[in-house]
Amino acid sequence: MNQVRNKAKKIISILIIISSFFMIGANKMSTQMNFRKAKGAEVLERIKLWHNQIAFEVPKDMQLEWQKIGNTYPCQLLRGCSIEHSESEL
Amino acid sequence: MILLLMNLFAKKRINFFLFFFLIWTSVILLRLYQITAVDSDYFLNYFKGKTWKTGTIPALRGRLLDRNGQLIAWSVRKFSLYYKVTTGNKDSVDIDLQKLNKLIQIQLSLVDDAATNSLVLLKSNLKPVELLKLERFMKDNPQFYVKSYFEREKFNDRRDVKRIIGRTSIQKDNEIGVSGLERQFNDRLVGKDGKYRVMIDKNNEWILETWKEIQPPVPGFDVYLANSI
Repeated sequence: MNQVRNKAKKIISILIIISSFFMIGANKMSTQMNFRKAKGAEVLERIKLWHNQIAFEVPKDMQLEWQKIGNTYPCQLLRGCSIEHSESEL
Repeated sequence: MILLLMNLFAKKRINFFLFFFLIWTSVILLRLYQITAVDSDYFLNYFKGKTWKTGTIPALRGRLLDRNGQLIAWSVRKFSLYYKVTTGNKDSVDIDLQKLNKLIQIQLSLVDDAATNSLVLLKSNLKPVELLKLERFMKDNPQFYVKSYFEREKFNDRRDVKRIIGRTSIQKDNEIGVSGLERQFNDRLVGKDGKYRVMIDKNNEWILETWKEIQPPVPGFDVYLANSI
């Protein structure tokens, strides 16, 4: 009986250790995900500011349309105005 | 008897746990094998495919106004669509243009006489909706590209007025005053370009969280003239 109990204890200990590793990993992942989400939202706000600034630079008859579409696709419109260089070109 | 039953039950439970662990470990090992051996090329390419890019947004040039605040000269941002003729094969050019024509209306005859490696202006003053449609289209068709540019508007088209105001020309994607008032007040009128840095994936899409503003765009100052024109 004691032998069985000891085996069970060992298995449970291994289980707890493995679960702890998984828990730590999952926790790290979720922290990272939350951080990325927060960072993404922060970045999007900054891009929207740039976008709104550009919306005043386009012809007057397009300003409203630009602003409306820009709320959904600020990145795409911003890319349309920018000149992109790859790092190696710098 | 009870002890014997308990012993038997405990043994069965242990066997069940062991069996469960064996399956679990096999699944993890198989997955690890798949990632490191079978799909290793895919993952390596995926991570190698990511590169950093920087982008510049040319700044808006300031406005010229008279002492009453009436606009004299100002800049407007516009977008034009260009096509780079990469081949002398007329059929392949036609196919390209027909694909584009499904998205936005253009004159198909525009490219007829264009030489190889020449740039053809297909449409100017694009609307925001067209710009969005083209953004996706251009990823698969790099021979088409959109260019943003500034056009300097003047309150009056009279030749003498235009001469006093002066001209601007595009140098390194920025408007520079080359004559008249535009040249005289160029230092005040010229803005500071915005700069950003972003990581792109292998599909040339921005990875949003990596976007970073290096320098915010600053439009040029408005200049109020002491005298009317």
